[in-house]
Amino acid sequence: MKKRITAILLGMTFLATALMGCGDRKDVQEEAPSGGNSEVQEEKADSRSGEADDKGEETEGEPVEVIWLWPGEAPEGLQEVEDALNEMMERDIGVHVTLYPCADWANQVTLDVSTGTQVDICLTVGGGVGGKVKDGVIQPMDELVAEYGADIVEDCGDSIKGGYYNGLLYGVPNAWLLGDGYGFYANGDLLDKYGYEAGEPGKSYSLQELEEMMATVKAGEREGFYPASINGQKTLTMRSFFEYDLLCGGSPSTGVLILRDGFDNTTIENLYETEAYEEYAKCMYDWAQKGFISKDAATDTGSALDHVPAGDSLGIFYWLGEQNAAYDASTSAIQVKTYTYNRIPMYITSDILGNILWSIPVTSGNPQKAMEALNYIYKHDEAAWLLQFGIEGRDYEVIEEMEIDGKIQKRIKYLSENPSALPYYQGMGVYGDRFSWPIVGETIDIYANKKYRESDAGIPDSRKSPAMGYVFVKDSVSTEIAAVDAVREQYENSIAYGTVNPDVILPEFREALKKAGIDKIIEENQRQFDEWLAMQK
Amino acid sequence: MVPFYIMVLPGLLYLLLNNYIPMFGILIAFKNMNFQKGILGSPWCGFDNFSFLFSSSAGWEILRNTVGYNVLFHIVGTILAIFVAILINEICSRRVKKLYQSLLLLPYLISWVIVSYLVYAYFAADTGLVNNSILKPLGLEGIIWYQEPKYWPFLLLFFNVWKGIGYSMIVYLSSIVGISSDYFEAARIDGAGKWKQIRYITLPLLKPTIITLAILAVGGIFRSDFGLFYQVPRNSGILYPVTRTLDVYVYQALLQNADYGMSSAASVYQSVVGFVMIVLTNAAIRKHEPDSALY
Repeated sequence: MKKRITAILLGMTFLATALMGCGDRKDVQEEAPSGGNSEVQEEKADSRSGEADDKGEETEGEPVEVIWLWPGEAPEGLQEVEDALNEMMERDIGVHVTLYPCADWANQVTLDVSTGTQVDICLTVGGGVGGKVKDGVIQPMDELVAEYGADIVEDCGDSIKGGYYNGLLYGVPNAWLLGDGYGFYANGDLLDKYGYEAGEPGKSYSLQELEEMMATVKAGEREGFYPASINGQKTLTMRSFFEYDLLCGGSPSTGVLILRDGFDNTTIENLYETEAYEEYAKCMYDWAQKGFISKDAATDTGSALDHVPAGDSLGIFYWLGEQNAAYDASTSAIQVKTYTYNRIPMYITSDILGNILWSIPVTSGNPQKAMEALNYIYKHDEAAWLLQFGIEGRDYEVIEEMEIDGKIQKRIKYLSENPSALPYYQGMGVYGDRFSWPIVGETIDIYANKKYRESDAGIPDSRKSPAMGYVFVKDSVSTEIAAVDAVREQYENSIAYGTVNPDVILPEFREALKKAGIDKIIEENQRQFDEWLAMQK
Repeated sequence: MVPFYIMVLPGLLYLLLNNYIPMFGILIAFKNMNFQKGILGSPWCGFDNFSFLFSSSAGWEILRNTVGYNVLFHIVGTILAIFVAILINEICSRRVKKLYQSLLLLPYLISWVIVSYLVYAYFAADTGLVNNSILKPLGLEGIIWYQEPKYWPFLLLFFNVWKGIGYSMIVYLSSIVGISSDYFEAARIDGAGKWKQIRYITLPLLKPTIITLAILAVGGIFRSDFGLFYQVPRNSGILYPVTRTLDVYVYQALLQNADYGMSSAASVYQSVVGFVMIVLTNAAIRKHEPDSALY
């Protein structure tokens, strides 16, 4: 009898503890089989299109929930920012925004869509929207932008072209510069010690001058000091060597336009067969032998930016405007006083168009309201500032205000030497009209935004890529692209970080690329490009 | 009887939800996934997703790595585990015996991620212990370990044995301890030395254990330890020809290339082949040694 009672009690306890796991979390996945999920999803899709036709019929007076992806780990002060934002949005457009922080934001939305979770606004950085369109993750927004996105169109201008894929609009960018320059971003304190001054404004430095500087500093520092910290930064480093255009939505796997020798080049080439790349590869190997870059650069998984303040390195290759500037420690990406030495003056490529894009996934509860919410932060700059910088008084303080061209331009300072320690910090500059943002820090000129706009507009046509607005539709060659990506994963790091002699490995690499089918991809890309060029005339 | 069934119920439900119902997802391997249409609505694409595994040279390389390493690890691991188990069995002091067992088991409990950092501390090109404290004093040039594929089969074997030996040794040790000491006494009286005792008593009586473990290993022949093959080489591209196994490939295809179809296909292949192998091997064993078969 005792045994029976014990057994029954134990059984009940087990059942109870098993059910404890079922919670009521916002993102709990239904435990129904995946088959059931897709059916639910299809039903949702049908009812959603019905809603859109009725112009978003929601209960009178109740704000519609819009789930907005927030890239990064949730900061402590997220709730206050969300509340402040909702104060504005609920009042003006009847939207209640829920910020959805994701550490793995690049892939999270694909997982969410596959399980039918509601996400209303998502972010794509780099590579364009082609991949998400092919997998059926996001929906076209032509009519939505036309009707509710007037401020987005006004602020973004031409850069909205990058959001198109196969004729339909799938994403909208933040409004910022089209042009980018690249160069060496170095530790000013260390350079002062060796008698170097800040980079002259407007000057581009040759490789020789940089190498001289690196050799001088290296000779005076300890063993284990490597002037150039490039681990994980192979793209920015290559960008500092020669001008090229990856074409909107493309990657080195799909062919590039080499612009170094002329900005009217319309022949798409295999990057790894070009002379420019060979020279770059040889230089990297040379630097590894001379000790300018660490032999562990290929396997160091830490951030290159951390080596400079730690004293292991002189500088990194980074984005730079034409105007060389000095930065103070709190605004510099490397957290020390910084001198910059431009290598490549600003130029405009079409791959920048697809760089930062906000899209509406297919599982959005109310695409119309999502678009309204997105448009809101372009129309009301203060809303964008909330999302980008946090709360005034808690995360930053305003130290200067000036009226420029009819708009208020603020200068702010983060309330901490280490901004990532603040209650709210968003390091990725992705919200709204960046030209209207406050200037951060004390060293940059308050007229900077105006100057940036002018310098961007001032980039001569002779430094604009001929492919502005062209988007490569990759669907027909996706298997080849996957194979080429795999080959690149295998070889590229060894060449980019100078660990293996390019004379030995480059031929092997090129052979493997050919076998994977890179020529077929480039042919297809060139064909589409020629068609597009013909239509432009 | 009923209470006992109730006790089993939560576990059974969990097994059903976690292991059996998701089998429905096998469909993904045969479809061209489009999330808007869901799993049931996406178009069929036959065996297209499997083509990478069979048509590309990288595909065969991956299979060769997976199977090759499994066979190598199992054989070397078994020999060394038995060897160590016999040695430990010979120790007289119980305290010392427990001490050695714990020390040997310790690596098994350390995560591969931590091990990968330890390995990095040893084998980094500029700051690593091996280059600076072993090779340089001997007058040899430092080697860039993470860029040279030829050393890695041995390195991976070493790390795998170092980590797993504590655990597998316990299985054999428990079998050895179960061997009746009468056999050994009889052998000693007959004048057999240690080596003869091991060869004629210990090993034959370990055969059932060895066979069972071998069958189980065969079932997992297409699986590999992800931590070992992805974390330890630090995902270094140039080492792929000797370190990329099926699990690493599935991970890369899914997370880095977001290709659900191909990674599902690789997973399905792994599972189906593993299943067939276990059934066949077990059938073969049942014919020769019915007592050792799994079922």
